[in-house]
Amino acid sequence: MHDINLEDGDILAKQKELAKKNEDKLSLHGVRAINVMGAIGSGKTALIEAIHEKVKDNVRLGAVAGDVAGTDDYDRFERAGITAYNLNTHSDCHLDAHLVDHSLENMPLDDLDVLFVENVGNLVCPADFPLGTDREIVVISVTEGEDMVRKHPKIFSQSDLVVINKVDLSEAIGVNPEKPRTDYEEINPNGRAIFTAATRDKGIDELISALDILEN
Amino acid sequence: MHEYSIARELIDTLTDQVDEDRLTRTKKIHLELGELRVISKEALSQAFKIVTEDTILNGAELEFEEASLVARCQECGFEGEVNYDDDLSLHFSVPVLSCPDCGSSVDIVRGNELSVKSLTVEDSDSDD
Repeated sequence: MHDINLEDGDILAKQKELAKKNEDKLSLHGVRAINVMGAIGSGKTALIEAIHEKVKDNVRLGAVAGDVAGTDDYDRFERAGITAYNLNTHSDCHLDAHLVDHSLENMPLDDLDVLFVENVGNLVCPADFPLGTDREIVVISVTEGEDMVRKHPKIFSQSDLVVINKVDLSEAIGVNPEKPRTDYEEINPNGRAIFTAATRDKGIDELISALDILEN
Repeated sequence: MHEYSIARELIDTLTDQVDEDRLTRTKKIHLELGELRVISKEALSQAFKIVTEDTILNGAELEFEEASLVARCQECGFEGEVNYDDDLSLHFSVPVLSCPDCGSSVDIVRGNELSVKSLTVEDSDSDD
């Protein structure tokens, strides 16, 4: 038996290369991209709709609707007037740089300022795949319970912006939204948590500002 | 279960850089896995086993070496291990991604690794 070494052993080298290609392409067209991660039903689509409603006169938003199957989120984006692309992974639990590359090829990038890439609803797998986006945010909602940060600490320790959504429901369901925020600040002291209620226009202005959506 | 995707990327990495003869004789694949990676070693080993069945890599086993987190402070120049949060009664302790000296934000120097360190290959006459 003997050992041999590889010239480049990085298993994600191809994904990183593709992610860099996406980043360059977005930058060339002057598009800033935001990877939106979070569980199914946390309100990722509703937050993008709410942001669009507030900035549509000044900012041209686009969205990639990443889902395992179906066009539900894509249809919502279209109805809201957001330039959208439907990206079904069919079986995969996350988006990767190749799928995003394919989406970019099918979007009018010259007509966009900001692109939301809505990842598949999942708090584990998307964290390991670079897409070439400028920012990564994680969305959770109070309806998922108080322990979301504690149950998925790694993705939160690496995200500098966390949205805690549906805070308008917290009293009715007996969940204290301060709990996930405190947990998050404990493992990521320099991160920022924003309380929102996407369908009640709460916290949306703060989120728009934190994501620099209005900046040219 | 993104370990199947990782297993496929691993196979591509190997087939791109190592010839078929050596891959057929590969017994162990030594991987470096950074602490910040959200990957199950058991699930990746199982996925690799299933995906490589009936291929030249059939029977090769994955061995893992963990790379601990090393961070560099963006303000004070500290470089080294960070503090860990053991208070949350989690299943594992969570690295606190801020400078243990001054509390500022840090860059990750080590901890994101996911790479092939080396392969253990059975000897053959063609190696000479």
